Amino acid sequence: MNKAPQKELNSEIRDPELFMAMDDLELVAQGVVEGALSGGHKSKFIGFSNEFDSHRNYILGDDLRHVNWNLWAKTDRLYVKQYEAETNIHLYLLIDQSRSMLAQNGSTSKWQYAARAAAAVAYMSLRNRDAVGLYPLQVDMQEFLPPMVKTGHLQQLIAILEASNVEEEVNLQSILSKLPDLFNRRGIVVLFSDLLDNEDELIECLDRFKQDGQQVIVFQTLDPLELSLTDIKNQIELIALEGGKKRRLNVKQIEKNYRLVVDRWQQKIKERLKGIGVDIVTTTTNDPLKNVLIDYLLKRTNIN
Amino acid sequence: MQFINYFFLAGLISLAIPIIIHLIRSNKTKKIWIGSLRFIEQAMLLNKSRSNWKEILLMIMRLLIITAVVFLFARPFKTDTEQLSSKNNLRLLLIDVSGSMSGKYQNKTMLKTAQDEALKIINDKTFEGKTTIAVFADQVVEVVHPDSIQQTACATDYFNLMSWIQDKIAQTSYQHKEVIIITDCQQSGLNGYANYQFDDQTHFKLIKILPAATHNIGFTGIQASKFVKQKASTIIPVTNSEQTSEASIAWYAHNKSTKGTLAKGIKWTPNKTGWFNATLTLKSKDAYPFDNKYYVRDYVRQFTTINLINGKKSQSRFTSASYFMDKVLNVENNSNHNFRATLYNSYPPQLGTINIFCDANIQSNKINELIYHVKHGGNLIFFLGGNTQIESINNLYKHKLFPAKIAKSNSTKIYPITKWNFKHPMLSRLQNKNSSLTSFVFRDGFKFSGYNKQRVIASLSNGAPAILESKLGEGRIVVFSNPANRDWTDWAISRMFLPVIQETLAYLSTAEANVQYPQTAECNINGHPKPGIFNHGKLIVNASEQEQDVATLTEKDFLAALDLKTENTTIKEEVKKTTDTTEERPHELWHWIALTALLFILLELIVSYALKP
Repeated sequence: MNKAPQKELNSEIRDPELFMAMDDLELVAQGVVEGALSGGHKSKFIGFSNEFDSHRNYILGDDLRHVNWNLWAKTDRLYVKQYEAETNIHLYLLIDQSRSMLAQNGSTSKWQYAARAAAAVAYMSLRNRDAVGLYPLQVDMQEFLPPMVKTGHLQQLIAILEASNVEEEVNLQSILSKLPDLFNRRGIVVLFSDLLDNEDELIECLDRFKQDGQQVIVFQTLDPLELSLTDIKNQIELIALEGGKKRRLNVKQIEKNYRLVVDRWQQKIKERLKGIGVDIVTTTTNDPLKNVLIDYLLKRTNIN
Repeated sequence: MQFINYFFLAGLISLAIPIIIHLIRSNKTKKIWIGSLRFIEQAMLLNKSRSNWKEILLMIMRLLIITAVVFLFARPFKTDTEQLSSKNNLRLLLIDVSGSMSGKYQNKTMLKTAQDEALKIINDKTFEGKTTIAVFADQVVEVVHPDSIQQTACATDYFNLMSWIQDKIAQTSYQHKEVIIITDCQQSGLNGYANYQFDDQTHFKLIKILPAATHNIGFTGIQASKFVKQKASTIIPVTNSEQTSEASIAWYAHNKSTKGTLAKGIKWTPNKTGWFNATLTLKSKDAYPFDNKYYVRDYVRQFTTINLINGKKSQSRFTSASYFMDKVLNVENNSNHNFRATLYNSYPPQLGTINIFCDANIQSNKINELIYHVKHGGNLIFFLGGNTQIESINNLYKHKLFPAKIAKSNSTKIYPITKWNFKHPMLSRLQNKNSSLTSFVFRDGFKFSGYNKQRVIASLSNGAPAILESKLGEGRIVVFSNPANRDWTDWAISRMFLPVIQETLAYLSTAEANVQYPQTAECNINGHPKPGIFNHGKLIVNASEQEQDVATLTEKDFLAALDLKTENTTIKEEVKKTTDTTEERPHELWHWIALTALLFILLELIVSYALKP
């Protein structure tokens, strides 16, 4: 009998090749954000920076270095240049630690795929001087890392990921509802999950983040069999990772209906998330992670 | 339903094969871990009713195909009993309404009793078929219901009745016929017997309403004997009534013989030998108007009482209506006769008595009486048959009333009797090259043990005893290992049957070697010269006068004279009959089974195709 999959010790979350590919990318915030440090995102504060924004009339006492002398020569009037202020954002990485994330019928388990994606995003963001926090969604929420930008933060983040437990009973909704109190600044919340929990409650929690001014991105990771049963032949016995329930079935007889049901569920989630302004990226563990991340980040950058 | 080849039913074990295959395949199913079964369950709900139903139907089809094929090889067939329960049955219910049925017993007329019996029969819901009800006396008239029948004062004419029945059956197209006659078995003023032939799909049943009014020779009756479990038949040529409470009987012997009267039947034991004349006067005390007188003249010699005990309702050649007992033993002009048939309840006998047990059994509480009887000169003849109870016989053996211990034989094949002990007084006069004793064939139905081999009178070709004897005190016991009827073989209609029986009786009654050879008598049926043997109801055997000429009559002539289509039952034919399973028995069902199997195969193919994704 096949044994239930377990979380691998010393999982290879750090992927140097992936990190290298992320070097030139950034997770662009949509719209202006708050920021303390001088990061790469538009700040709602207008001040002095590298990006010219507009002119205003000279007021006695302004710095003469910012006077547009060319414009004075043309108009014989004094105008001062105004610049956009660039700042850093807080990135909150939430990773689903429920047992369903251990499904591994593709090249890797969902959890490992999600963890690698989170690590890659953390790396990229830290390079862009964004503060990154890590919140493994466990029942006790003891091990988490608040957003920071400092030397060694990435290593610490990866170490926490590797040490985190995948648990049987994880109620995502109850954990997510506690998180807004931990987030002291607006930023970007990235949820890495398979969303197999109660999606209505889940979306409500995500909506709360939105209402708090957070930007939310959902990175949905699924097992290939959770999308389609095409590669399975004849009679199989399916065992649920959470709860251990079993079902014996002839795949050919339900394949079509299964696809139908899954597509409907996906469609529903996407529509509802779109409705509350949440981005969702759906992928399976067979999809190359690098391509998925790059495609999404470029798309987000272009849109922005 | 029964089967010819029961062995093939073991093939039903193969019904387990699809189930075992299913279980094996289930254990080898690949197991896959998945995040959630939520969507699987939703998808299965959409499929559930359709696919489960088809899977189940496919499994049922396959199991039915296996069952049908097994039944095909097992060759089921319906027995005649089952056939009788089908709708292809005709029942003739005939009720006696003659004058004698007005007789009363316990404040109820016999006609009322007959009506009640008829109502029981027609209210029997197990019968499926057509019932025709008719009343008879001197004529036969069809009626609608037993409630509508009326008493008549007419006489009973059984000949007319039997002719009517014969015509009715000849005209019908029903396969199975049952004839039930409810009567007091009393025929007034008519003598003789008639011969009627019916096919083997016609079954007779006689319901006798007792007690019959007295003093008339009538239909033969069945009366109880205190010695046997089954009913015995009497051999009284005068009257057959069990109880004559409504009549008085006076028997007068003219030559100073004892005058005796009886409340029951007739009992007379002459106290000396010689010619006697006697008048039997029957005076009726009931409503029946006839009084009769019978004049008898006979020569009384040392005679032997013969009691006949029939164990089965099917005929033996010794029934009370039998030509053999009636005529052979009581021929007036045959002074060579040593026998006289008389009442069954003449124990203890004054002279030697021969008790003939035709496939009958003896109550264990009568054993002591019988031991006393045999020790003081009584004799027993046993004809073993299908009704024989092994325990009863072995109990007799224990008390030395039977020459051997018996057990049922595993094989019931037929063998000729090839060894005859012609030195035995029973056979000494039959040692004639034309006597054709080798034509006798017996079925090896019983295993004998514990017997004296010197006492075997005849043996089968396989060595088993066919006729053997033993002695107890003054009496003797002779055993025939087959019944005296056609249940097992046709030896009873062989031309040497009567001579053998006569010699047996002569041996037992006199034990003397110089008794003259008895002769058979002539057929005495008015207008019915042809002899015959009938299977149902009519228990009559008539033998042609040519039977007496055993030295000159050939086997072929004998059979032709009997006008009987008999089969020459040899071992080969018997073996062929019992082992040839390719011969189809009547009412076989294989055609239906084959058709059903083909239908199931077709359905299975259709469902399999429909189940393809």
